[in-house]
Amino acid sequence: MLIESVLIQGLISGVTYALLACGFTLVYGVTRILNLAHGTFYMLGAYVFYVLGFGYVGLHPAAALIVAPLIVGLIGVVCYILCLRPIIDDYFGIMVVTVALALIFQQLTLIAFGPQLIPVASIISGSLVIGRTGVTYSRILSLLISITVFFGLWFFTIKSKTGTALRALSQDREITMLMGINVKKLYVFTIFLSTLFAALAGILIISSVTRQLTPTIWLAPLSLAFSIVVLGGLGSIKGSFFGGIILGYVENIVVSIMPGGGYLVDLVAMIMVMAILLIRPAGIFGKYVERV
Amino acid sequence: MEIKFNTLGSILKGSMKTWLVTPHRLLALVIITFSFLVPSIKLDITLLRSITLASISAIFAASWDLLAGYCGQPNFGHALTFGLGAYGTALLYNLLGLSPWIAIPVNLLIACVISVIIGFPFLRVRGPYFSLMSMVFPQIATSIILLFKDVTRGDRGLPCPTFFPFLTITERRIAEYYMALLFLLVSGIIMYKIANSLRGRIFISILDDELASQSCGINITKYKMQALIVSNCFACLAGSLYAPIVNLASLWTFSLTFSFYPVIWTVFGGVQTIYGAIMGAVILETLDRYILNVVVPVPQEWHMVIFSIPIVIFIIKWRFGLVRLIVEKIKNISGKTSVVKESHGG
Repeated sequence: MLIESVLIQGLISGVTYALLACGFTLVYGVTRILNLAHGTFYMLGAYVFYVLGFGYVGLHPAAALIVAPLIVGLIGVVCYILCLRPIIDDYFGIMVVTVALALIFQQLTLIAFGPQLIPVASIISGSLVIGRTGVTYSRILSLLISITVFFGLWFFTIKSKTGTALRALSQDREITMLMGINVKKLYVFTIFLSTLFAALAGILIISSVTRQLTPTIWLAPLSLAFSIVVLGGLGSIKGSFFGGIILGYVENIVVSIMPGGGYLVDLVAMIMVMAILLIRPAGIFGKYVERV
Repeated sequence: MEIKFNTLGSILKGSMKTWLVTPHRLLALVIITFSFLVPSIKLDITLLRSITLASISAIFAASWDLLAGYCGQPNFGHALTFGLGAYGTALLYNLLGLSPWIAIPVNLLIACVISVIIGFPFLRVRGPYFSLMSMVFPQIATSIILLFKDVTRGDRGLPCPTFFPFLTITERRIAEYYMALLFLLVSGIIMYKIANSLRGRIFISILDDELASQSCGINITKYKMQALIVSNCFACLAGSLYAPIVNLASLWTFSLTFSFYPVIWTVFGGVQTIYGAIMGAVILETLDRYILNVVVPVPQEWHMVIFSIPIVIFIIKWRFGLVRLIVEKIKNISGKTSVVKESHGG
């Protein structure tokens, strides 16, 4: 239990969790869809990556890293068009349908691959020694990819025209429609981006941290992602970035300090979320807007 | 004395007549009478046990409907209090040797405390925070149970005593059936009465528009909290009844899959009805436990898929639910106007 180890690993896992959380918060902020099936796309991403890279297709892992998120993004778009678009304004229906989708995908994966653990190799082997701790190259790769994606997303929402449209959409849907922006297309695009991020996060965490696959791997990261989202502010991408880093550190500190810490991460995260909600009801970076 | 008796009898008769003239009440009476006669027709013991467990599931489903359908707070971790009831009963027996009958009130008390702890931070704020974080609670419970492996036996589950240790197996099944039926009747009537009282109206007003009901002087946090406590208590009651009947408190009662079952039953029967949730649970759970296991064996992994896909279609196409539709049709016979179209038009 070295301090620099906690510092480095906390940053890496925090940023990767933040990648998962930012997809969720992006969809909520732009389309007001509470996508409780977000974790399934994380799981699907990891499985598609495994099938493409190691199992049946035999692509190079680096190619699979690029292709798998795109496939999962398409699955997400199909789910959205078939199941969510008809009930887009019904928040209760959306929650029920997304949880149903999550369980359907989980069970289908269970039927296809079985309940046993499937070991996954990392994308690149070897490790780098910083001070007294070794960090594997695959973890550094996941850190770099996550940070690149975050800066890409930030640059995209601030500078590009579509990003501006997304920000407008997150503020008011009707006015955005009146400005002549194709809101339907933007919704599909947002869902695609969000599921792509979830799948990417899944691949990075599976291939660098946990190294094994089961159909229920999505539950633990999803609950951390929810905590990150509420901690940082629902709908705020900046919030989910910093929330992710905070919870990444919390996870690593709890695991290394407390006995049986692996079981307590969720509880500690939940206590933090409760405390934050009591002090700041909209999270650290959220704005508490009274909507009428 | 005789005159008094007669008048009382005639009043009773008259009120019974007006009460029974509505066909849906008659239907309810027929169903209840029939369910009391079920053990006398010498059913297959597995089917009887399936119906017993289905009645307990019906309490669970109705309690979900009370919070989600009436108060607009869908709880996707509803298995938390169910599992709490199951593990509470098992732990009290294994550590202190208490009978499951004494464990029920203790469990309910713990469920109240847990509801207040959970509800205060998440129901106070507006927005979907409660539904979002509710998925996390059962996982925390699972982690805690795995952490204390020595006491809880981790994955293997805790053995649980039966309610009637002095009876033979067949007698015990029949006794358990009547017990589950009685608990279902009492708690179903309580929940139906709450949902159709003034308090139920306030719950619906919170569901429809929080801001408007707040501006009418309603303390929405208080009412949401009341709905959460009542709902969690009945879920805990269902859990405390379930564990002694299956003789096991297992980690499965905390899983997300199990949390989603009441949602399936309620959406199938009809959200915001209570009776829809109860009938939906009884029908689907009997189908799940008996027909898909004994009559037409289907692998366990497929059950969730078989039940979830229709739910997606139900939500998109028929929001009012199947049982509710039938009951509304029966109500129409007696000349009452249907509320299905009005309440789910938008």
